Formats: sequence, C-alpha cells, structure tokens
Amino acid sequence: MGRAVKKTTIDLDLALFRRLKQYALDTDRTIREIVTEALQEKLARETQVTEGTQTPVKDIEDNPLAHRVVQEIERVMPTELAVRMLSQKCVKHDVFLETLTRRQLTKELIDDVLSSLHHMADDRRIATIRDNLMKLSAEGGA
Amino acid sequence: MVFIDSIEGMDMVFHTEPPQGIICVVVGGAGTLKSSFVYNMLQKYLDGHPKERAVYITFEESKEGHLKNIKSLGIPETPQIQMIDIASFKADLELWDQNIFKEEDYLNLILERAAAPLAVYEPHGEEGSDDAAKEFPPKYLVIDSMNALLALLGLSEPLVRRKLQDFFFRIRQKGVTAIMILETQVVDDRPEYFLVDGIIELGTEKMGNEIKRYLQVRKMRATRHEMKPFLIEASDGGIKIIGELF
Repeated sequence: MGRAVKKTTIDLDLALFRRLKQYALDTDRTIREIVTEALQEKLARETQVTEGTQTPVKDIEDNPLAHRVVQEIERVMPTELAVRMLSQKCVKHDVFLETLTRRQLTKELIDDVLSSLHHMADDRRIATIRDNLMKLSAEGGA
Repeated sequence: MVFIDSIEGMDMVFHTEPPQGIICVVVGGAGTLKSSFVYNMLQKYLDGHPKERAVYITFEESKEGHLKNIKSLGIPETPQIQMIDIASFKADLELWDQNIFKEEDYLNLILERAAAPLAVYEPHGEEGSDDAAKEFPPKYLVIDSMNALLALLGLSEPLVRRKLQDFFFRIRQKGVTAIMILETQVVDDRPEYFLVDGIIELGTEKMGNEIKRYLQVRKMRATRHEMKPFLIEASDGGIKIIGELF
C-alpha cells in the first residue's frame, strides 16, 4: 500500500523553477522527488537547530533495545552525550532512537556509530562494542 | 616513579617524586615538545608497570597527528596510554549537527574518563588470564591542551578561575595524577597557576647560533626539586635531560 499523499499548489519564482526543472533533467529525477527531499532536509536541519538531534535520556528508558545500545556507548562517554550522538546517527539513518527496533539497528547504522566512536577508544574496546551491538541487532541473529 | 626516573636525566631535576593525585601543568611556547615530553614520560614509566594505565585526551590535534609526531622522535606508541581524540570526534559529529556538543560535555567527559576502568591490553594481559578479565582505572590523565579546552568552554576571564577551581577539585577526588598541557609564551600570571600543584616549563633559549630547549620546574608542591633550567634533547630514542642549561 502506497504512502498517503496530499496534493498542493505553490507559486515559485520563475528563475528558481527553471533551475529546478534543469536540475531534475540533469539528475534524472522528478520535480516531486527533489522538492520532497529538499523539504525533508530543511525540516530536519530546523529540528536540529531548535532541539539538536537530541533525545532526552528519559525518552529511551521505555525502549529496552535503545537502553542497551546506549549502555554500550556509555563505555566510552557520558550518558547524555551518548544519547545525543546515537540520536544523531539514528536520524541520519531515518530512524528514531526512542523507537529503535532490532531490524532498524542495521550493520550500516552500527558501522556509522563505530566510525565516530573509534576516535574515543582503542580498537579492542571498539571491537567489543561492535560485537555487542551486532548481537542486539536483527543481523546478529536471535 | 613517573617524574623522577622515567625520562633519562629527570633525577637531576627531581630529588623526590611528586605525590600521586597532583595536578600539574606543562607550559611552554610552540615547538617546545610539550606533548611529546608528557607522552614520553608516561610511556617510559608505564613500560615498567604493566597494570597501570593513562588516558590522553587531545582537544586540538588528531590522534594520528599526535602519534606521528611522537614516533618521529623515536617514542614508541603504547596501548597503555589510551588516546581520546575529541578533536576528530567533534569534527565528525558536527558535520551533521553543529549543536551536538554542549559546554558541560567536555568537562564531564574528562571527569568520566578519569575514573572509567580501562582493560588490560595486549601484550601485557593475555586472553583468558586473570589480568585480562580485570579492568583498572587510569592513574594518569593528560589534557592536551588546556587552551583548547578553555576555548571550547567559551568562558569569560572572570569565570575561568571559578570553573577551573571546581573542575580541579573534582579531578582531585578521582585520585588521578592530571597533567595539563598549556601553550603560552607568557609563563607568569595565569589563573591556572594558582590552582595547580605543579608547573613544569618547557622553553627555548638562544645560545650563540643555536636554539636550545630547556625544562624548568617552577613549582611542585610536596616535592624537592631543582629550580634551575635543564637542557633537554630530542634524539632517536626520545627525550633526554642533558644537564644544567648554563
């Protein structure tokens, strides 16, 4: 089943519209795709500016998986920073830390987290965190 | 002992070892080997103390850049010193969100790391041995540099002393010996000096056509030490104290 959509009409500056149309041709995408992507990026940025990509610590307490993931990151940094970093990484992967599921805890998300984390710990500790996160993810088995 | 008999010739400078848990600044201008000196001192000490650990937090230079520098002086990297590269971590996260770090994060991170247990590393702890299962909190903490940390905190001058006083109090409670690197040409009159237990100055002196590097202990509480400057030299095997400067 497709996602619900809402049709709307907006007036664009002619020069801007021409640039948009050319960009759509150059990138072989539709104007709808480009406008949707641009709006999503703009709104995500605004959210970060006003709230940061920051999930309060209390918001993850109801999600045992998110709580366990945070506990792993807490091995190398304080809780609040760990939650903020994970929130940011989750947003990048189109998921939310507070509602994170095992399926959403993908290898790509784990690798992204570890790519930042390797500045904060030695290889051995990173390997331990990686093993534990993989066990928590759907890709890590039952 | 970390100060008195780690780097060759340090016994000429120190007659007794500073007590564990002191806060000491290593101060000097650019190119005076501050970072390499501190790393070399800890690396040599830890080499003979396999169960002890140090945490080295770098706020300015990347871990890779720092290790490249120390290796160029013939100082070996040791897994007993855990490098925490806040500079790269911050740059990495701020690509996506400029506001992810809050001012209190930096001090909290240092305090948390100062007490966090560190694993026993190879080659000292063998897998499956009793040591491998144990974790020890660090005995030494390095902050490189205080200038960068203070810049990140964005404190105005009147607030610096109050904030540092509270921070140093909390560091002392952890029981680690903290070594803070401070880059400045003005060795006198900084707010940190009144709050710390020790000040080691590294500098350069023009002697004829040559520029010589020196080390001078300006202050070290509860320790007998020389006040004179001592000539230091960086050779293939790291840093050495050669003798008195004059």
